[in-house]
Formats: sequence, structure tokens, C-alpha cells
Amino acid sequence: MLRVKNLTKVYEDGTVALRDVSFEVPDGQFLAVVGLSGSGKSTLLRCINRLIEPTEGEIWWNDIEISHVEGEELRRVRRKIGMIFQHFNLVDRSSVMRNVLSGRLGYVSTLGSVLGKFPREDVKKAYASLDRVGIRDKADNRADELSGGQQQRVGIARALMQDPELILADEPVASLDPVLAHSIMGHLQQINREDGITVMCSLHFLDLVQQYGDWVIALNEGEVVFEGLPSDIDDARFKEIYGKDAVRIG
Amino acid sequence: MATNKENNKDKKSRPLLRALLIFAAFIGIFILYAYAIDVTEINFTEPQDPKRQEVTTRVIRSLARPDFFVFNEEKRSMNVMIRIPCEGEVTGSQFALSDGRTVTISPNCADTTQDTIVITGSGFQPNTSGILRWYPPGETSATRALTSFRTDGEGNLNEDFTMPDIRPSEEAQRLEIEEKWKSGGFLGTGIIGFSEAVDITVEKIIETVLLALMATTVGTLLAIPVGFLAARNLMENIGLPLAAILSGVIGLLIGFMLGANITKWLLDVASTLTNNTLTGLGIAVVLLIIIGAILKFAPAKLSSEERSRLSMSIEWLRVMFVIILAFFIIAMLAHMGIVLGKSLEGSLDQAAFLARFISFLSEGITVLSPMVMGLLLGLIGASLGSTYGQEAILRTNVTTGRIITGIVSALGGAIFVYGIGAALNWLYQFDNPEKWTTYPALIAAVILLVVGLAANPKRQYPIGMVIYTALRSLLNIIRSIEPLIYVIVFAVWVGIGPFAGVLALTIHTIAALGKLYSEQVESISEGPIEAITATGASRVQTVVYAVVPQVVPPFIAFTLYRWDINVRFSTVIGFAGGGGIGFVLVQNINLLKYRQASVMMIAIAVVVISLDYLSSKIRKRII
Repeated sequence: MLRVKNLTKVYEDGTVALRDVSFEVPDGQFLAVVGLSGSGKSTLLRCINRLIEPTEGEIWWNDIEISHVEGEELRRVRRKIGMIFQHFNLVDRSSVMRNVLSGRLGYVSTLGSVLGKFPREDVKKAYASLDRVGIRDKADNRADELSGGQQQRVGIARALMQDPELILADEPVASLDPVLAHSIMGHLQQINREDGITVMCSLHFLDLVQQYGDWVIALNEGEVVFEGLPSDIDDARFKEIYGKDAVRIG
Repeated sequence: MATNKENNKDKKSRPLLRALLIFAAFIGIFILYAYAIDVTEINFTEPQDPKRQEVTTRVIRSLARPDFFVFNEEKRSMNVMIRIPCEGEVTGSQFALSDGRTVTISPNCADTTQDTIVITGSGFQPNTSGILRWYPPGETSATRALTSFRTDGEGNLNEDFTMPDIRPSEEAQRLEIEEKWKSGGFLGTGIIGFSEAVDITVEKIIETVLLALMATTVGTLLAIPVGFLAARNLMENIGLPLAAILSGVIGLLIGFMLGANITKWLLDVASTLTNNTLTGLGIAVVLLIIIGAILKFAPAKLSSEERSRLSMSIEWLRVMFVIILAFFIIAMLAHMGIVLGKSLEGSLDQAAFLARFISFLSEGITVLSPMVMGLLLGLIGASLGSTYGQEAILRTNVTTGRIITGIVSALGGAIFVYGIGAALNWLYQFDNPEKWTTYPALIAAVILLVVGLAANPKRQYPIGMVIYTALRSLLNIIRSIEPLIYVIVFAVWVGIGPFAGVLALTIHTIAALGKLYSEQVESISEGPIEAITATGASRVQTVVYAVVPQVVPPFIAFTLYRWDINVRFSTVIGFAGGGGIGFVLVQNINLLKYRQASVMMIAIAVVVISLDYLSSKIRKRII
């Protein structure tokens, strides 16, 4: 269970990215976060795993308040939250295998991992994760030799290595073509349904939201302007979220 | 309306203002250049002075004829006689040899130094240079060259000369006509070998390149950690509570003392155990087996899903034990190496440098290891200290936190201030050192105790930016001083020669590469760092997994580039006593041996150009 209470983020230059955001995500939900670019979706996701420090508010996760944990405890929180990025954020010059194994860094000892040593069961797990997203044969390729869709699957495999209870997906399909987009979203849906991992995914296209999301929250200029079922977003709601001049295309 | 008018007025006055500004700028530039030309003594008189032009021409001509080869020269000579002063009728005289050389001198006598004498001859070696010499009467060896000549294509010679101011004599005086020509040798060019200048140049240019190699290697190794610590993007987010920072200082000190002293003790024990080489070897083998057994039968537990503090501590102890054992073996080998190297040096003559290398390595281990291990353990101590300091603050309530912060800060602050005071005292040798060490340390302890008790213990201080700023400033200072200046200091310490050059270039390389590396780290893509941080990786893991793969190719490219610069620099570092080719080059220039100097300049150009080419090729391949 993830509970966000009165979360506010003000950047150093004075920009208010999030204003008093509150919502709850029950375990196992596929939550879609929608909104225009700059509406605060990325900031919201990054506040949850503390890549960005929230200014005010509380984030409760499994009954721990995580908005102020530090050091070892923060690492323990982070390792249970996987993250998938719009630009994949793989290490281009490293092999696919090494990229996937790096998802395990929160669990292994510093000394061994610095020397490139991982326990045998982790290596097995890495192959299994790659198998799950269908690119086991690419394990030894360099990450930048893969196509965009394949790179995002490596990103998913890396997140799976963390044994996550929550996956944060920041526009996971925004840099991919529509066919690949459905394939990646399919993988996320499968992880959500089969493993019961909570997924919190920011999306651009409403048809993806309606196809994959269990629940939607919509942000506009850092504020929650809509919360409800995807099917409840009608034309009026749409204009509320995206502005009067927006036209539905998807 | 009023404002409009003012605006117009403003616009109108602007062209005038601009013109004035431009005029002032012109005047300023004029004065600047006038003064610059005056102080740099640029003028047209000196370059036009005929004497200077003549000397310069001679130097340039010498430089154009580098002294590369030793030639096989053949010579033969022929004597003719001349009378000084003239007696009786003045005529010409003819001389002939059986090999066909005939010479006529006319007149055959001279009274004054102005009398021109013509010497003609035939039957000489065609197109050959020669010298006409005068031998004074008696058996003195003091000859004097009168003129040089060159024969034409048929072997004829025709030259005017005058006699020098010499004592008149009853006897006829001897003139020698000597021809010199190159024969035999390589392809008939007369070349029979390389000159001494070439031999020295080859030896010294190798020394130069290796000097640059050593400086680049050591400099690179030390610049890598500096590069990461001076990278803003890695350092700016590091904030720690006061207790963590100062327990890091305490950890640094304890680690350094422990590392240095344990290492010294191990070296002592190793040296007594290896008095007998055989026992030494035996013990080394036994220890190796023990290490192997530990690694084999008690493998490291890598996963730390839910590891207890105890198992973590056991893990650390195990690692430390293996490292100490391994070092002990190395220390024993080092002691044996010194003995071995000394005994080998006598028996290997050509390869004696290999034996010296064994001794050098062994000695290096015994001399440097206390310091290296001290630094290493100091760093580990600092990192452990700050980690435990942070965790202690995070896990306890505010009151306990305050007490911990107060005590730790007082202690760490006192150590830090005392250290700075001791360093200053070393530099300036104060009359009463306590004023600079003990008292400030006590004051700092009291202040920090109060601050630690009063402030919020969880408040974070930007220690990362402090280290970053301090390191950056230090790099800039070191970099702004040229190696030619460092070498003067190092020549005092280790003597004039290539070693001083290596040290001077190394220190400059650390600063220059450290800056380049850190800028490279700053320019990497942030995405992977974000992703690896999000997996719960520690800072060290994040650097190794997200930063290092991105910077390896540019680091290699920069290192090659620096090696290039170092080769170029090592050619002149000898000017200030740093060894290498510069050392002999400047000697030759001072002795006016321009033809020898020319060989060295050509060698420098060849080496610099070819290394430049080579390194640019390698760099292209890597990126």
C-alpha cells in the first residue's frame, strides 16, 4: 500500500512542480498517471523513490514514512521499488547482462559487486528475467547494439531483478512506436497481474490508459485534477485535464 | 510625451557616445601596443647589424648540416717551397711529382703580407676540397692554414693567397697542398658509421620517451581518484550530518596510524623471517596455501538480503586477514628480492638493469608500503567512520544524537585543527608550537562540542562541495606552475637528472589530468546514474556501474594526449636539470656545437611528430 499525503515539491528556482498531492495506491493496482508535459508526473514518480527530495508532505509505504529516510534504510526502500525510464537509462557500453545484474546492486555486497562478482543465483535470475521479456539471446550484446524496444525490455528485466513490490514507470513507451508500445505495456501488465507487483505508470496516450490502467490520476500544473476509473474520462474531463484547446487523437 | 522626448534625446546622444567610446578604445589599444613593443624590446636595428647577421648565418648553416655520420676520408699532400723575403730575381717556380701532380707558384717569394701569390696546379683529384698550409722552418708543429681550395672537374687548381706576417728566414719555407676526399664506406659515400652525437642522441631520446612514460603512468594512476572527487555532479549531492563528517576524520586518522604501523611491523617480521632464504620461501608457500584454503573453503557470501551485523563483521575480518597475509608474503618476497637483485647484478652484465629492477621493486615495497597502506586504511577508516556516524545519528533519538554529535565533533574537530596546526608548524617552525596546535585544537573542540549539542544532529552539511571546491582550487594552483619550475625543486631533492624530471612532470600530470578527467565525469549522461541509484545501489556501486563504463574511452584518450604533451615537455625539462635530451642539447648549444645540437633537434621533431601521429591513431580507434 502506497499513500501519498499532501506532497509538495518546490524546485530551487521557485517552480512549483507538485502542489499538495494526495492519493492512495492499493497493492496490486495498475495506476496510470496522466497529464501534459511539465504537469509534474516525472517529479511525482521520482519523489516516491527519492531521486528527488520532496519539499513537504508524507509518503507512506508499507506503513513506513519514507520521505525522510537516509543512508542504509533509504537503500533498503529503493531496492524494493523498480523504475523504468522513458529513455531506458541503460549503460550503453556495458553488456545487457551487466545492465540486468545491476538491478541486484541493492542486495549484494559492495566489495564483490565492485569486482564484478555476483552470486550464482543472481546470474540465474538475470537469465530468467531476460527470458521473461524474450531477449535471453541478447545477454552478451552491448546495450547500445539493441533496438529501442529491446532496450526497454532490458530496463524491465533490470527492474525485475530487484524483486520489486512496486514499479515506477516514467513514460515507458513515449520513445517507442505504437506497436512496440503495446508490447512493452503488455509486459508491464503481465508483471502486474502475474506477480502482483503494483505498477505506477505515467502515460501520454489516453487509449493506453484506458486499455491498461485500473485507476487514473490526472495532474495539471502539479495538482491532481482527476482521480477515478479510466472509463470515466469523457470529453469534458479530457478538456479539464489537457486544456480547452486539446483535441483527442488516441 | 515627456518620456518620449527623453527617449529621443537618448537615442540622439548615443552615436556621439559610441564614437567617443570607440575613440577611447583606440587610444587604449594604441597605448597598450606601444608599451608592449617597448618592454619586449622589439626593434629593427639589432636584426640589421651585419655582425649579428653574420653570426646568425653561421649558426643557421651549422644547424642545416647536422653531424650525423663519420666519414672515411683519404688525403694526400704535396710540398712546394717559397722564400721569404725575396732574393734576387722574382720568378715563378714549378714543382712536379711522379703521379702527375704539377704546381706552379708565382711569384715564388713574398716580402709583405700584401703580396698576392697565385698557385696553379693540375693532376689533382677532380672536384675535391683541400687546404694550403704553411710550415714554419725548424721542426715546430705550429702550422697555419693559408687558404682552402676546390679543384675543378679536370683536377686543376687555381687559387690566390697571401702569406701571414712571419719572421724572414735564410731557408726556403715549406707549403703543403693537402687534398681530402671521401671514399669507400656505405655505397661509396664515404659514410663508415654514425657520429658520437647520434649515439648520444639515441641514448638520450630513449631516456626522454621513457621519462614521459613514467610520468604519465604514475600521474594517471593518481589522477583517476582525483578526477572522480573533483567532479561536481558526483559531489554536489553529498551531504552528511556533522557527526558523520567528523567521525570520518577520526576514522581517517585511526586508519592511517593503524595502516602505517601494522605495515611497518609486518615488514620487520618479514625481514627477520627471511634472513635465511630457504626458510623464508617455505613460510611464503605455507601462507599461500592458507590463503588459497580460505578463499576456496570459506567463499565470500555475496548476497546480503538479510545479513546480520555479525556476519558482515566476519566478512570484513576475513577480507582483512587475507589482505594482511598477502601483504606479508609480498613483504617477505621483497626482502628476498633485495638480496636476490644484489647478487644477480654482478652476474648479469648486459641485463643488469633487470636485476636492478628487482631490487628497485623490492625496495619500493619496503619504503612506500607503510605510506600506501596508511593512506588506504585511512580512506577505508574515513568511509567506515562516516557511514557508522551517519547510521548512529539516523537510528537514535534526538537527544542521543546530540550527545554523539557533540563528542564526535569535538574529537574530530580537535584532530583536524591539530593536523593543520602541525602542518603550519612544519612549514614555519614557530617559536612555541603549542600556540598553533594544542590551543587551537582545544578551542575547536569546545566550539564544536557546543555546536554539536545545540544544532539539529540530523542536519546535513554539504561536505561533498567542500571537498570538491578544495580539490579544484588545489588542482588549479598546481597546474598553473610549469614543470620547468617544479624540476628546480626536485633537482634539489633527488639530484639533477631524469628522476627529477619524472617527478616534476608527474605532479603536473596529476593536476592536468585530474581536471580533464573530472570534466569528463561531469559531462556524462545522468540517466544511468539515476537508474542505478534507483536500484538501491550505494554511492561506490553507482560510480562503478553507471559512471566508470561511460568514462573509460575518454580517459584513455586523455591519457594518450597527456603522454604526448609529456614527451614534448620532457625534451625541454632537461634545460632546468631534469635529464633527457634537453640536458645534452643545452650543453651543446652552450659549447657552440650547433651541428651536434642540430642532430638532437631533428631527433626531437621526429619523436614528437611520430608519437603525435601514433597517439592520434590510437585515440581515433578507441572513441
